[in-house]
Amino acid sequence: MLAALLCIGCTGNMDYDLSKGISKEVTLFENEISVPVGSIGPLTIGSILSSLGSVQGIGTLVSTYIKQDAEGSLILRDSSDIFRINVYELEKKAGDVSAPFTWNAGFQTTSIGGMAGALGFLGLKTVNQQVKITASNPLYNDVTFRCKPSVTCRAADFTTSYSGPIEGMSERQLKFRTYNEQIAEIKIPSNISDVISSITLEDLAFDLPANPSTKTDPRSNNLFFHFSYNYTCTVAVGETFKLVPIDGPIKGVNLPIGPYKVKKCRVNVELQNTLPLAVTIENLKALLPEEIRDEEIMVDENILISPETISIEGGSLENPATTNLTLELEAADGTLPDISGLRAKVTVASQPGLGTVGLSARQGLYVKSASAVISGGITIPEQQQ
Amino acid sequence: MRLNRHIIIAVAALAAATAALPAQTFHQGLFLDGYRLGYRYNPAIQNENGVVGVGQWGNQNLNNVGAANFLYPRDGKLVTALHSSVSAEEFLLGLPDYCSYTGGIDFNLFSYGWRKDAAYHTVEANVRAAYGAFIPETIFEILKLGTSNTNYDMGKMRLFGNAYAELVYGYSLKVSDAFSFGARAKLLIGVEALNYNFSRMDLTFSEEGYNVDLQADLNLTSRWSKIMPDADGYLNFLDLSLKDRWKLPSGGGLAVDLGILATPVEGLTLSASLLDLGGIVWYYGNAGVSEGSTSFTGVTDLTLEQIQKGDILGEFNELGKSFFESLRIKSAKSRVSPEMIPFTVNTAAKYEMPFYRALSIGATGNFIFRKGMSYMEGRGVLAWNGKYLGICADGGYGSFGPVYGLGLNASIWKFRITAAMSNGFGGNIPYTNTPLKPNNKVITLGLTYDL
Repeated sequence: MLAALLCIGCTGNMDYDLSKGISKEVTLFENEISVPVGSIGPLTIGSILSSLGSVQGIGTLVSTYIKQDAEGSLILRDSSDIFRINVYELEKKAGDVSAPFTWNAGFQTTSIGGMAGALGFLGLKTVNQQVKITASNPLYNDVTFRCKPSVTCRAADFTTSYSGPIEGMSERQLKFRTYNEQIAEIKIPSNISDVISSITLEDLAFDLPANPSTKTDPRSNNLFFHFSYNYTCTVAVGETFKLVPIDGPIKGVNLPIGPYKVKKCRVNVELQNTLPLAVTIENLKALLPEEIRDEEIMVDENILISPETISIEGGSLENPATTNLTLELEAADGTLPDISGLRAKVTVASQPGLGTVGLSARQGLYVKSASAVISGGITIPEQQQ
Repeated sequence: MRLNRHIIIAVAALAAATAALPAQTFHQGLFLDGYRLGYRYNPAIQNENGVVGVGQWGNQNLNNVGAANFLYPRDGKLVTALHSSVSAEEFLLGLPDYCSYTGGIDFNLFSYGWRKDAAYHTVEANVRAAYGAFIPETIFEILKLGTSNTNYDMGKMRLFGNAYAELVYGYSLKVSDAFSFGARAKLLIGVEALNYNFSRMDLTFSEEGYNVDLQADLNLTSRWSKIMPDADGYLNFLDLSLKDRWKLPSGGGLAVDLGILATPVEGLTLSASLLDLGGIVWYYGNAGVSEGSTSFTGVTDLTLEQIQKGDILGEFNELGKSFFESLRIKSAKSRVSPEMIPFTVNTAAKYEMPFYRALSIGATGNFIFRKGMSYMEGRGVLAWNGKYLGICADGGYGSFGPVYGLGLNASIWKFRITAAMSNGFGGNIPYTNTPLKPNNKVITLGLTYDL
């Protein structure tokens, strides 16, 4: 009686028989869901240079020569010899050195290292150029030098003069084998952006003691009179700067969103640019998977991206340029497949109106805020749970 | 006498069969001769003789959603409500504002009743348990549709469970042939209880970020163990102390049942009762609180290096963890909380056919008040009682739709066996007890012995 009673009302609806299994595929947020992505970056020149340091070839070259000063400005440094002569060679050229004498080295010149010049080929400019000239004396005694240091740019020459002693080695501790004493510093006006072509010592003359070779400091083991330069400049972009446009696939883009059956996605980005460069992205398209891609048919026509042209304004550290972008991805038919790559034409050029602007490691692109709005639902397939 | 006997049996009703069911219970018992525990339904009911009952059991499930709200047959398979083949209208329109599932178990340890002149006395010892959950429909709306609104209010979400013992003394007095009244006083002794209550849970969604404003209290008795807080003051559910647990009963309280019975004309019985009016003061030795506002605004300054390493998803995972950590439960001072137990109002009418007394018809009405979800129903009843067997069937309409019930009573010498079942329509998941539709399902089994 009891069992019969309890069985009544326990009848099962076979449409809900669990032995058939329950599909675990779910589609969430069928209308739309907004996802705050947050902020990305900043992607600065400094961080790019740091990552380039590990890249062989051009990366190592760039990271070796281009440095940052205390304020973060990108600077180029170069140093080399202008003139050097061994004391024995000097005696030989001077002839009679049995009494104190004056020796004229005359006109000595050199040119700045290739890296500064190479900046011009890249379309970059040099500003705030500065040259320091140093001299070292290998003798035990003080030696008086006279010369007219000068630097030459395409637009002008800049000359100074020096006359005075260089202390002998006896006056200081020998931490190093040589001691360079600055004899001149020349700063090129900031409105001149031409690279310094040469550094010259005119009317170089030495007042030497008798038999100078006998007066070298045996502790230093240095026998050379040595004149060298240290050159620094700030790397800048000018009004006419423009990189060769990159037109082709953008590497590293791989979004496997196909299984999630997303119909439409809108990405809103607030971009802040402190680089004095404007970026234009044109003809933005999604690519077919590599295995079915060929040279004639590369673009996936099922993925609609709008707008096709994106413009990002250039700015500065003091006045960042803010660009609000809205990018929409939509499936032409059905849902969005995997995005296997993007292609676009990317042009980078100086932002008009800014003039020549020095570059700083702190400049860069900053995604101040980003969010995504996904419409039509996100499907989580059964096998991915 | 016969009238008294009928009165006794008549209102035997509801609580009947079910030694320890909450109120609503055994309404069929009203129409079954031989049912001896009618005083549980209406304290005014008296038996002719003394009675003893041991180990009777009752179970009730009251839920305003069923499995068919969440599972859908499609092409020979079952899919969940979040499957793309299930439209939002089909899923969400079928859900109430708060999806609730509650259950109750009554177990009678011992019952004893005796007559003294016009009065009938009863004593009982029972154990009762209840459990349930209230989940806002908003959660399912967000999962199904997304964030179509910007603000969502999900306060009043609740999980609860409790168990307590009852020591009951009942008294009923027959004032006249046509009128009786009765009362039962219950001493309630709390055993364990859990209450996790969200008094405030406001969600705000926008493209800039998500924000949760939360106020939730956890109350858990500590007779089983004391949950120790971690170094930051959050409850660590893996660090339990038996030494610090509460060794006394977790609560105490009182409740009363009241009832009146009237027989205005021969063959007609009218009954009205109010059951379980009272409450328990619980001592929650484990108390906690989740409160405050927390926001999710995405990653902050994700670096080039992280992008190159593919760390984006990792960053979001970490953010998700910190977001949910903010919802953790912070240890709070132990709480003393008075809480009402669900009370029930029952009404019934029975009329025995004058031409054939074994056949009777009637009607019952029932209202259960439970915090968060009340329930009511009305039924029409048809019954037949023979010398050794009684059967009744009923049908009606409740808060969740049509209902029906069946009851049986068998008399073997002085033993009285009663079984009853009450349910809604809609069926179950095959081979399980899980209902497909919202319903109020009651199963009762009882055994008594006449003294």
